[in-house]
Amino acid sequence: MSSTMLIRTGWKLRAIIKDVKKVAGKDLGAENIFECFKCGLPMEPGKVTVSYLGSSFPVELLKCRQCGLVLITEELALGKMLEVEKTLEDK
Amino acid sequence: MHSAGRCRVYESDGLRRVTGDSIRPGGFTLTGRALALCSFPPGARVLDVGCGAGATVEHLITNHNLVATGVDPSPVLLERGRQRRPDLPLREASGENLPFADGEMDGIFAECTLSVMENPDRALVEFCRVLKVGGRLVVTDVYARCPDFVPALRRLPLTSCLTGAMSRRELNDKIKSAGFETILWEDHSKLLAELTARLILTHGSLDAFWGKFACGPVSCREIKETVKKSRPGYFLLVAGKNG
Repeated sequence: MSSTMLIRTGWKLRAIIKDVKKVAGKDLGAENIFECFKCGLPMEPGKVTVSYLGSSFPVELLKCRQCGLVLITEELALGKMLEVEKTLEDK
Repeated sequence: MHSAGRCRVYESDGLRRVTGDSIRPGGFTLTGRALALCSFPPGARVLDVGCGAGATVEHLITNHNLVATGVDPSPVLLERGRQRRPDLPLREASGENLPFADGEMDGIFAECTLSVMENPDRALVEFCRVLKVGGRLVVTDVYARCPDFVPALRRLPLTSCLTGAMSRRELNDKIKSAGFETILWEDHSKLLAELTARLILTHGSLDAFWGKFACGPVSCREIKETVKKSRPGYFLLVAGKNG
């Protein structure tokens, strides 16, 4: 099943965002397991630098250890990343 | 610093996880900016008031060849510093009562600490006493860009640089009354916004961060809204001691 990735236009990531698919994990908890659509490897937490309005932040996001693909889930995009956007816009 | 029984935000692990031991927006960014402006010679005596765990004292000694000393009234933070670097010259004292002779220091740093002192007026007079004539005072801190909400900030049951923020005018008046001449004022509010962003990314939301300190009838949302209405900004001020 393909997941929808939402990312507001202002954010920049140093890794390339491509399609990912959510896979049905059998014993690892299906809701939180993603694999890279291109490489077929499970995505793992890794350091990523995200930028918005000239400010950069190191964060830990799910990424593919082979191709560097980064996943931003809908929950993340509409949750704390949106709150960060508003904070920086209100500066 | 502020009265006992209030939550001291600057002692919390939730803040230190984001700021490290500098416990302020921008870390050493504005320390470096101030050092470039003040041009202290190697071996100059400088005091960090509200040194916490001594991160700035260590930075000034190691990276700038200054004879730096730190004071802080928090035994919790001083102990953290001593465990990390037992050789650092850190002493337990408040900014309002400095254990140094008149004119002993070439420079004084108060980075994000004047706003958490019980009596900033008295502290500034102490800074002036301890500085040499021509010495430099470096203050970085939060300020309220909407001064009308300063009284509401003071009523929050927290001790933090946000709840103790002054307006720019009030701060300038205090600096002048204590015997200083302001040499430089710069706005660095972006550093505060970036720290806020890091708190959100680390804790999930500002509600979650302030929720660690909510107590009594004041909710985390009320804390967040009161702080927001005051439009907190961040500044660097350099002042000289008049002759």
